[in-house]
Amino acid sequence: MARRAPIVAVLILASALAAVVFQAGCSDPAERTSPGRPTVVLYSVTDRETSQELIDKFEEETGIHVDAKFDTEAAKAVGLVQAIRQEKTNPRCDVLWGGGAFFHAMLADDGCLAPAPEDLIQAHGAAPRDAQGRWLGFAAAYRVLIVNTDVFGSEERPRSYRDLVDPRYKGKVGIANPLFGGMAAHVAALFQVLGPDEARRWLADLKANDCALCGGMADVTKRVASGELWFGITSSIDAHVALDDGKPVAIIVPDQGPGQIGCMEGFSSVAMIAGAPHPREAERLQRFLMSSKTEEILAAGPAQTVGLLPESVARDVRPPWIPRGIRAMDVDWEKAARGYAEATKAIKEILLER
Amino acid sequence: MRTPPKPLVAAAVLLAFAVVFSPLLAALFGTGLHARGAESLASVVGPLGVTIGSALAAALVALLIGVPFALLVERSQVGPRRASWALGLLALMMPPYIVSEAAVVLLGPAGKISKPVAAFLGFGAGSTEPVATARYTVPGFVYSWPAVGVVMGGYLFPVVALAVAGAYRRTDHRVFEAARLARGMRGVLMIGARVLVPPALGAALLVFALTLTEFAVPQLLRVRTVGEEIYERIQEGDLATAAALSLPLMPIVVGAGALGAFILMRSRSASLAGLEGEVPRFKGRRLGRAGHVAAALTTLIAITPALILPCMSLGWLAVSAKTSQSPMVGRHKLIRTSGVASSFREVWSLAHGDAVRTVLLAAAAATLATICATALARLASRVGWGPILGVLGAGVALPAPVVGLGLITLWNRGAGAAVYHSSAIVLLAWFTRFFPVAVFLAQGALARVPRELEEAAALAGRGPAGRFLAAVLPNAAPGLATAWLAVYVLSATEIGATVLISPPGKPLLAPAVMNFMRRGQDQEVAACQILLLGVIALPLVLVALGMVLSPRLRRFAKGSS
Repeated sequence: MARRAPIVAVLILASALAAVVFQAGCSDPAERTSPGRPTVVLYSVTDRETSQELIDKFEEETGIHVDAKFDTEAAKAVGLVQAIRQEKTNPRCDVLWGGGAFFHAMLADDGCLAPAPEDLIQAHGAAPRDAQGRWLGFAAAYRVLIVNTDVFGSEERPRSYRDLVDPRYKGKVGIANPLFGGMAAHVAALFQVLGPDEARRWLADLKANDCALCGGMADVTKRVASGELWFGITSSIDAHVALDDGKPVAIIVPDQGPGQIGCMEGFSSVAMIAGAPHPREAERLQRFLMSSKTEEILAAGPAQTVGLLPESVARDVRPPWIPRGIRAMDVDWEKAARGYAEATKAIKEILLER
Repeated sequence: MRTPPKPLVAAAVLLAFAVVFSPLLAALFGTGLHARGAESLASVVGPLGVTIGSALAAALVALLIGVPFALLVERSQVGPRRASWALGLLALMMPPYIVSEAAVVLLGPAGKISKPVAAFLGFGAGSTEPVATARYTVPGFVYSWPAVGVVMGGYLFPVVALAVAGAYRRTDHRVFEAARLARGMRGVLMIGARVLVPPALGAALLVFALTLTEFAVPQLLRVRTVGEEIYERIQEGDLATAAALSLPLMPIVVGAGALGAFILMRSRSASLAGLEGEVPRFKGRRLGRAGHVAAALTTLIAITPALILPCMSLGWLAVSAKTSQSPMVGRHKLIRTSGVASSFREVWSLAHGDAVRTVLLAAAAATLATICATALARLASRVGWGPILGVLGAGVALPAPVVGLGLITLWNRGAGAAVYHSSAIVLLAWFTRFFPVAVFLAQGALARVPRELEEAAALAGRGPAGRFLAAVLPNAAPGLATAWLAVYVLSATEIGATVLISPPGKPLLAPAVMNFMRRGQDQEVAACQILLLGVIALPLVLVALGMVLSPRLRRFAKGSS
């Protein structure tokens, strides 16, 4: 009996631990202390270190508690966007922030998004948005070339997305895997802007030039910063992380010359979910995010984005290092989203030889 | 001893299968199975070959490292032996995506080690001009399927080492003496092969099965595997096809896992030699000075891929991180631009809730999985249905996002929504993913308990619970502790399903850290890695502390009484 007692005690302890742990995991202390507090559920593809500050400010200003769920860079578009699709019949999310127009257009086509209030759509001015206001774009980031400055002097740096297929740089260039996330949207946009034939030729040339397909834009940035690759396509957000970290890199805004297609302009998008459980709070969050004040905070923070909303444009909200007058590629995101299947097929056939 | 009623055992086995495979079935049929199955399966043939190749390489590497490690370390003196095992287990706790990132940083084409070594060996740029030096890169071994094998084998070698060491400890070394006297060294080798090859092969097959389903490492090392194909389908919104693509992996995993389990079970015949009522602890020949040096060197080599290289990479980040004068404002500035120590404080202040939540939930998942796996393995073995549980191993082949999305389909409806909206869904996801691992390890742990002990307890009048607590549990405890630890580590570092199903407002550490790491600056990345490793190593530290303190506490208790 004496030998058995410690074992029984351990078992009881383990069970008690499991019960306590379960209880702790199941309930949020904030909710326990204030059960009547209004809440909004935010799915944020935008990085946590970028969005947390704005979430804190929103909570402070409105008293509405934000239950946020974040994605990881590696899982983008396989994470929260797919979760929203899967939750369509019984939505848990109220507002989706980030992920770009491409994936928002896909969700809108699937009937997962609800239109924004009419006055908010009107106030959106010339900033990018869905025709029915199911997603609203703001806070632009650019797809830039990141170049290793140890490898390239200031005069010989590449200037266009076409330089990725220059045989002089064979095996030394990289893009994020175009089957996933932002680069999937980029290639779909190229199919829409260049036309399928020219886009397919570019993919074939990339293949011939032994272009590295990295695990994401942040991965491209790291590999260029380390000298493993000489240059590649990345987002201005990731490029700035490396530049700010003192890495030997420079940022080139590509295709700005006459007759060139312009630089791809990505932007953050916000959408309310159709059938959202907290519609009033969701609307307040959307209004909060769709403000020049928010764009100002984003421009000063790690996102380093450029303001797109009318008031921000008037006040020229932008980080100091991003030049004025960047010419953006003219992309119809709804068409690009519809052409996604064709672009993906071409990527698989040409770039991955399947 | 009476055997448990078969209907009860059948119900328990069916319940286990339902828990593990219900997300797959929900993904396959709950979202409407598309008619593109055959075409999709054809596209998976190429990646399947690469997946199997890298898994075989991992098993081989784990064997090459794990077997000598176990044999030399087991014969060392107590102190060095404990230190070597602690280091080996720490290697197993290192998340494999950190190991592969370290491989790229240090041994990649522009690696901090590979590039100077290439230059030293005369393969460098051939010029001292800075541009030529910058443009030189080492041909990239790291971006290949064998490299995936090396990373995964280096990370999982303790699995092989533990199996071999277990068999070695329970071997009657008089057998070796007899063989040496009869047939010399050849005889020793023959006996050694009979005793040690089965557990080594069994564990290597487990390594093979675990590598087959890894996604993060091949993605980082740009190797196209079945996992990537599955992710593509998920991005396209075709969950049913994604789930169908995981089906070809299942028979391979079941085959490898079942063969591994069978070989491991058979290996217990070696452990029961000369048994008369207690687990034998025979002592083999101790090492001489040269042997000790060899053991230390083997430990060093064994932990190099999964412990030393990541620590070097982490150290490099910490030392070389620059404190930039960023014009940025806000909270993130403190994380990014204030040095590693301050970054750690800021990351901790931002993510300490995530860390605590992760520790608690992972501990709960591990406890639940270990208890259920022990009960199931015991029930099944007592009616002779142990091999059926091998089929549960197919659950390991389920891709994490398929599990996550399948759970949403299953639980985000009706009364199930209460579970889906709470952290219980995370617990369920981790349990679903790693329960087969717990069952496999629990089966191994229970198989090593001599039946004679339980029969003796029965003769002494103990009931089923009493027999289990008095005879089985104490002897199976090390194996069950390993099962708990394995599920804890796997759960705490899980990302693929967690990112999909974790409830809003209750973030967990691994996805948060992964995000900071992927897009962070050097000091930020270093701080995040330290935090994640701290959380993973927490139970090991507590166990070590317990081992150190328990004799003192016992002495104190005796003194006070």
